[in-house]
Amino acid sequence: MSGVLSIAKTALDASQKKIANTANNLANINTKSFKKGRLIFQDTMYRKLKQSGVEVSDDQHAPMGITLGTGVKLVASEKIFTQGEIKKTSNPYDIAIQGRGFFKVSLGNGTVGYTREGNLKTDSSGNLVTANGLILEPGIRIPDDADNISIGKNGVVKFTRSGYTGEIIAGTIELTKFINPAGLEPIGENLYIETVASGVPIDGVPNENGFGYLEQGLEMANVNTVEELVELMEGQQHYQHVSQLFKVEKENSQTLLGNTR
Amino acid sequence: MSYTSMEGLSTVKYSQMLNANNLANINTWGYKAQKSQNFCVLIEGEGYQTKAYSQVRDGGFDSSLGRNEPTNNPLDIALKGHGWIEVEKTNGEVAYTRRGDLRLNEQSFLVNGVGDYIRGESGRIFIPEGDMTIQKDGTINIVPLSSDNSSSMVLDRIKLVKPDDSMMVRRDDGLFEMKSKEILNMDTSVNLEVGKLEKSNVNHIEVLVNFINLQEKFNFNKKVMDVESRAKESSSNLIELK
Repeated sequence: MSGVLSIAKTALDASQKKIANTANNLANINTKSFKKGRLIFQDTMYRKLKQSGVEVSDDQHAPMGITLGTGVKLVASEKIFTQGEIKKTSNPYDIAIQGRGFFKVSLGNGTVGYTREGNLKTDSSGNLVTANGLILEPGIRIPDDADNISIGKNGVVKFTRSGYTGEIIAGTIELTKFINPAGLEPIGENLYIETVASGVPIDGVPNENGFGYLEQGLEMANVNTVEELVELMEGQQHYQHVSQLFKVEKENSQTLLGNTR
Repeated sequence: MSYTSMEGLSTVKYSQMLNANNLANINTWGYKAQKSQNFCVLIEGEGYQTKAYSQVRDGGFDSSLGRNEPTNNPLDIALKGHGWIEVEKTNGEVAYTRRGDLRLNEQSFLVNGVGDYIRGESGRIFIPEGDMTIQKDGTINIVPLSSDNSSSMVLDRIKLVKPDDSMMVRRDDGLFEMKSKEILNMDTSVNLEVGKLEKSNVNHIEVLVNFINLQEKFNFNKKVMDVESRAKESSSNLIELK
């Protein structure tokens, strides 16, 4: 493959991935607690070639080497964990994290996942679960006849109950944070699992030790529509140009081949 | 005549590769476009000068600034104006870059998106547990985990340098270094824009124009070769007839 063709191929590949990433961000504008994706590109290794010796006149520099680039590669795709806007709702079970941290949920078979999605509810046994029915860890149970549910900034869950005076504490919602949340692996449905890159999970309580606090409402996607649309347009235009380059270069290569006898 | 046009083709090819590489890296943070320099070497000889070689050589990199795009990510940094960030590769080599998509690696060191360690006052920067912020002069402040109040303390300072860009050269790995290979001193006048990333400085329009020009050159050279090979054919036909 000609040098230009192989560079163009890396460009085509990268361009397609960029468009797919932008399209995914746009598709999830309304997904609660969605974190936008970003791609990390890097220019790949250069080759330095010396010019074959050609006599040059004295007032010119001796030719330096020429540097051949080899295109671009995708190093990684990452999620950007900037705060999404929190929109108030009338449901006391809707909570969002303002600041650092994730809710920990049980994925079944002994594994755990992490999420920012806090539209909670209770399951048939009264356990606090996420909208997908995943149980919060550590578990908190709320009886059927509980009233006036309130979840505090510090994660304390309280309720009242007829026949009992005052507020009863059901438990405290805990949070988990990571050294490098961008390194977490998204597994769909707003869930993430730890990886080597994310660092080990650090458990704690909201509103202390660098953890964020809980706020009533739901966290919106941190996607800016206008920004993403501009990226999409630019990405599509770039893809067109690269495709054209690829096509012409293929023709050039064939032309040259036709010329050798 | 054929050799001259073949030479022409290969310099066109080099320029095309350069152009393609720039086009490919339009989304690479902090990328600096490659430049080439075409020059003509006249062949000295008896009588009239009828031959000239078209040569191309490395024109270095385009040091013009890319656009600093806001990302609102507090660990993203872009240099304000000229200058470079000093980084250390995993193998210990020290070099310079403009890319500032910072994060912590799993050992809590400050690195960029391709895994190079950001260097501070004394090498790699370790970030202990706490809330860190980067200031526009490169200072890293931290509110340590153990403190009760929000007292922030200075942890380190990102090593920013500002040599004359004409003394810098691109390495094989895409990072930059001084032609003299020296390690530079910190320049405290260099500032950052936090929450922004520098886009590639590749000019899309320029790439397209180059693409068209180079394609024309390619077609021209190809035509010259065609004419010459037909001329050869007809002269060998003439010989045959005789």
